[in-house]
Amino acid sequence: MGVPAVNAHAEVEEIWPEEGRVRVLGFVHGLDAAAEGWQMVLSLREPRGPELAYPAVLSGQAFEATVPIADLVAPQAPDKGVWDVHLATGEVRLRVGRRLDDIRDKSTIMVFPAQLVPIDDGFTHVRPRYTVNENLSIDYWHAA
Amino acid sequence: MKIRYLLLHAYGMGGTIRTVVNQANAMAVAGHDVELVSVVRRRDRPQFSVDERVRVTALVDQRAGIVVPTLQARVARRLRGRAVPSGEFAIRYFTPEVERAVTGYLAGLRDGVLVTTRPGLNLLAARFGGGAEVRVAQEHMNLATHRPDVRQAVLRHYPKFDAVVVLTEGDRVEYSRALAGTRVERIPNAVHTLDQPHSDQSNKIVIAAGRLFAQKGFDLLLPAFAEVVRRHPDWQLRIYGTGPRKDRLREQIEELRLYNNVFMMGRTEHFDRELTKASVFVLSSRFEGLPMVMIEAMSHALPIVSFDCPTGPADVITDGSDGVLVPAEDIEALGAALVRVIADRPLRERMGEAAAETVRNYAPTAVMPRWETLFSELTAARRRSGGQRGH
Repeated sequence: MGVPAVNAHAEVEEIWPEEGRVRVLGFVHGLDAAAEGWQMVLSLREPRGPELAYPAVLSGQAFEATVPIADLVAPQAPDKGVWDVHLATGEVRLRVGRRLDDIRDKSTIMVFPAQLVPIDDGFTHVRPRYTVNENLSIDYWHAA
Repeated sequence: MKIRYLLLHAYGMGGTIRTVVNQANAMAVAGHDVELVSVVRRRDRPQFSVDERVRVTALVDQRAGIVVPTLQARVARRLRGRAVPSGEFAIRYFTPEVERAVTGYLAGLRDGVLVTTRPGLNLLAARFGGGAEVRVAQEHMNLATHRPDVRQAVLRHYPKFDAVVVLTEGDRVEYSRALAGTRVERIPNAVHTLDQPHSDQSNKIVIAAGRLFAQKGFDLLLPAFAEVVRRHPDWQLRIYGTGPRKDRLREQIEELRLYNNVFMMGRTEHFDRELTKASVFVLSSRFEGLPMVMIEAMSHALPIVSFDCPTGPADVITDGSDGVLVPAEDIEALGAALVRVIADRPLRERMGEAAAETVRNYAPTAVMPRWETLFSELTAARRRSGGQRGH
């Protein structure tokens, strides 16, 4: 597998936040993706530590992975949180983002719908979004 | 010649402001003494670059805020009647203070060519601007689009002008008929330059632009583009502009599941570059005057897909040659036309080349001499008649 190029990342092409899931499609950039065992790994920003992993399907350089939103409300941070999304196998961990096109300020331009997870006395909203660095994160926040 | 352009807000953004600034610049370059008079001033500097030979002045400085009219001022105006009918789309600008400033300015004119640039200002100039040697009204809207009270005032007062200048052939015919005996000319707006890089038709991008409100019909464009995405899921629609309908359009994008293909891009300082990157320009307006952004797109050799709305698109576009015209507000036809040009790159290349040819009629070098000729003719006619007014 070797050491990945510093600039390798997983480039997003489509995000489908539908039917209680967030489906992400894209391709591995800057690295030969021939390895087995790719997963989409979500890591909570605060508190640091919790991670979730889902199988990713690779076809050549293309990847596809699906995250069920009901998993995303972390007990360590029940009210709100941010998951940073990676594509990983073995020692390799690629940030998932959309950096190869010509659109900057994606957070205001490529906007995705929020989905709702019913919890106790209200709903938790779950929404994928691009960060200021054009990386993919998934936010959740509770609203009574 | 001394030429004065009276503009509602020379410091603002928008198509009319841009074209008037371009005209003023061109007349200054041609050696005329040009003044750009802004009725109100809400910013420190103009947003479009004004030639240093053009004097810019403002009648009412509103940078610190707008003076709320006193009850007395409102009652006084109610008694003497509004000089600007309340159906003027920019009526909120015409406070009693603003009306007074404009009529005062007009009353002080003793010479030169006065060009007014929207209905409210035209009506004030018709009634109070008799001191100017020559008066020209620019009318960017078609007669049917005016609200009834404005239309009545137009019919009554525009005959006082030496000439009324409209943007499209349809408007010329209509206004000539309505204002029998008044000279009505068609002079389209000019693009700022023809010297633009052409699209290379390599990017799967359709571009649209305009304020996000009902007139621009982006709510019609979205379902039309959904048809494109069904067949060509790798194509994008990029909509440039801001406005009050943004949230509603966002909801529509979500309902139509277009969030991977349609992007509301907001404002850009480099719209030229964005046009060059695109491969098709689409116009979905419910109505227009003369859509300059479409003509600008043609200067980048972009094929046009447009509703045949009143007015403008049919004046500019020859269906099947430099673009495709479909019946106004026909979403299905717009979608089908987009699919047709998207599926056929050679067609886009041919249409783009034809568009770049058509747009030559809108070059500054084609348009500006027509203004100069008009102003000279009107001044000469006025002098021959010894300054006697026809009406």
